[in-house]
Amino acid sequence: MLPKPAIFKASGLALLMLVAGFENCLAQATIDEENLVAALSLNIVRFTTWPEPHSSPFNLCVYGDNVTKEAFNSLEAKPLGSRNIHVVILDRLIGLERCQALYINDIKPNLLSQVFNELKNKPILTLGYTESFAENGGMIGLRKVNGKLTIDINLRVTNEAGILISSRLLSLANIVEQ
Amino acid sequence: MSKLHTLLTTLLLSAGAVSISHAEDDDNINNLSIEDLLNVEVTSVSKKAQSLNDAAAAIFVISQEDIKRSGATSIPEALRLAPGLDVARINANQWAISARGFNSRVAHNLQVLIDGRSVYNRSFAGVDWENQDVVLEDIDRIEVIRGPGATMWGANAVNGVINIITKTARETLGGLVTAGGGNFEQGFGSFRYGSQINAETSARAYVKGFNRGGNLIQPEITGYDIQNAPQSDHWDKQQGGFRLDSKLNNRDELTFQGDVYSSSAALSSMIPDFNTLSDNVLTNATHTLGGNLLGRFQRTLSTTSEFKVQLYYDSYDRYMGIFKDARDTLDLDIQHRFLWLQNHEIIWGANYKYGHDHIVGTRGARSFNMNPARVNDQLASVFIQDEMSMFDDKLKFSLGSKLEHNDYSGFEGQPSAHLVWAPVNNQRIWGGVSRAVRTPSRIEKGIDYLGWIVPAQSRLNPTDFPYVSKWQGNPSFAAENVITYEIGYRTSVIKNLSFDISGFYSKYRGLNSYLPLGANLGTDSSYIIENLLMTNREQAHSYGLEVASVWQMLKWWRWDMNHSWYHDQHASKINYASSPHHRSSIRGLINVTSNLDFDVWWRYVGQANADSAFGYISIPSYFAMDLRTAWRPSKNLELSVTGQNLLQNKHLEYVSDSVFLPAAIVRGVYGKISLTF
Repeated sequence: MLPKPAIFKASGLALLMLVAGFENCLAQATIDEENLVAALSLNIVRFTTWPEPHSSPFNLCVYGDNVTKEAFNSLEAKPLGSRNIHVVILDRLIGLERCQALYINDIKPNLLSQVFNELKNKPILTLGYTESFAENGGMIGLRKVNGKLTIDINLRVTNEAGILISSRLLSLANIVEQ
Repeated sequence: MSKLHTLLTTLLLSAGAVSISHAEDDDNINNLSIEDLLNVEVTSVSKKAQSLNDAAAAIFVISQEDIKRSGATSIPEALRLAPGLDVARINANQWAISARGFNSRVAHNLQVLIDGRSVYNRSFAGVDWENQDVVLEDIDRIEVIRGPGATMWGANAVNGVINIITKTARETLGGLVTAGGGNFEQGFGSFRYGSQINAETSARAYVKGFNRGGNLIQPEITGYDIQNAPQSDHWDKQQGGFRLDSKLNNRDELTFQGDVYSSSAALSSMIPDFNTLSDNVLTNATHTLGGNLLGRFQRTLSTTSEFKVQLYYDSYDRYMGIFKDARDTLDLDIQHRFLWLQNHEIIWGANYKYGHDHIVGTRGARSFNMNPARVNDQLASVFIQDEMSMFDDKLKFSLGSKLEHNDYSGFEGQPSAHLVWAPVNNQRIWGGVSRAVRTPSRIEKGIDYLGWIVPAQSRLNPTDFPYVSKWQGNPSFAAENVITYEIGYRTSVIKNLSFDISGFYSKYRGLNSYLPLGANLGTDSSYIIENLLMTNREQAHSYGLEVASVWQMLKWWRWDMNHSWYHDQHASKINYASSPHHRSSIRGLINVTSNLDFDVWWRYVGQANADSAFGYISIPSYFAMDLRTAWRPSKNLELSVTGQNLLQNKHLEYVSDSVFLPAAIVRGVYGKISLTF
């Protein structure tokens, strides 16, 4: 049998390992879907050129649930060329003209179709993380494939809106035919 | 001392480390290159523990994943996942389910819709749960709203609304075969196939069936001798159906769906024998045949405006031993949502319902009969609700009312006012006041029922004469009504942990009660008939708290927990049936590997009281535990084993307020194979 202080040390160590393992798992869980999507959206916006120069700041509009909003809020004031990003949280899908980019999540398919309808030929980059987002008329759709994110780009829609996607981004994405 | 010190230090250090690593994560992730980001493993685990509902109501959503991992094999069993619902299994083929108390086989206060079709039976004022089924794998979600929902959903949404929403045909392409069996779930299977007919149209069709039974009928609870005690609560059912979704153009959509089912179930009821002046138990094979057909047209006018028209027909015909009944319902519903003046979201709608029923007793005059045997009934309603956004959309105030006319109680107004405030992204505070009514049933209006014989010198009848109760419907029976005050708070301030708490106070007026009209002697003067008239004389109030929490403890281990505390008091001091004061559910969802799930589910249900044919009976509190493990050897195949109610051989959940004999629910184990292609 171990002497008493040794038991304390041993159990203390075991506890430390347990908590450390626990903490490790928590830390891993924080690199979650929504934060990745937000970070990827920031990068996509950085590789995109709009037909006409915008006034500062750059309005990145976000429509979705509280988890999505929280993740995109971390992009507030991030530099984008000479400008800074301003995250505009949309509670309703109105006043979309003020957005340079629009990320949409948690929306019924029929309403999403109407968003694409209303933004047709307008230089507003649409981003989404719903099934077949780019196939259905969105510009850039994110998808999870084998546990990693992939990018779909609908070039017909971006071209019609006069939005240019850099060749580096195109080389990493799937081009969607509609 | 030193142990405690080590523990505290470790906890403090690790708490510090966690918060630092969060801040670092945010920065690190935004500094990664696009190539790196596309190589990061995505985890979607914490979403459930962080997302908050924006509704100004006590809402709980049961997801497809929750249903699957609960091991539930029917809609009623899946409802045990929600807080505030009182789910009690009567036997293999019947349930009593209510929200916030007043539970019964025909709990009057809960409105239930399957894909927009109300399954509330207006003849008996309740839901026949045994007749409601879908392929569980095709359910998208079940929304459980506790508290009155009458402004939107109409009469009888007094204490709650349950919306069962199936996936669209577009979301169920391909084949699904499930099959399984065990001791209580003796055999079940389903086959569904979905196909894309063209670019705009998808459709699916299914068949399913099952055999269940083996609970122990409990005649000894009755306290006196019953002849021919039955052995079985066997139930089998076959069902088939389809759903078609078509996009007509970029703003119009059409849905058609329908189901047809046939079932047979053993039902044990007490039947008075006026020759021997005692009760016999009759175990009948009941039969039900039913079906429905629904069409819905939806036009999306803009990103903030939609309009829909829905028409459905629902029908059933059944033999229930002491009576048989049939009902046909035709329902037309329109609803329009639009934005007005930038910050008013207006929803208005209108509904017309036409019903026809036929209810007849099968055992002659001295049993169960309905006056009149056939009725045609109508219900028409309009509603409007305005949701106003204020203070940068942080505060939403909604005000609305439904005006309804029904053939049983005339005009009914059902207004409500609700407020929800989102001071920050991860907190919601809400409150509301609403009024709802419960319309009278055919039973309350026109039953004529000689129940069962209470023998002389028995526990319930110390006199020298046997007696029998005779219930009489009351043509002037009016609607019951409630005013409910609610308040709630939701938060996900702590990472990976969310809380949802709500409290309520309800005041009921005009509740169903029996007025004794005196006694007279039976036909051959050998027994006493106690005459009881249905009236609206009772009043009550109820209050309670419901807490639900989701904790993503580890990346691969989630806890879903809830507790409901409920209390009610009736104005008269008669012993009414009462729901449990406490109900708890703790569920652990463990993803051992990506192909191996392990689930554990504990439930506690407090002591309840039944006002039954056998007197005022206490139903003891019980603990239950279910275990499930599932293995996916390939992407398309899942094998699972589920153990249900593992802690006891048998336990009692409900004693009928009518003549149906109680059954004790037994321990069950079943295996299941699920294959997609």
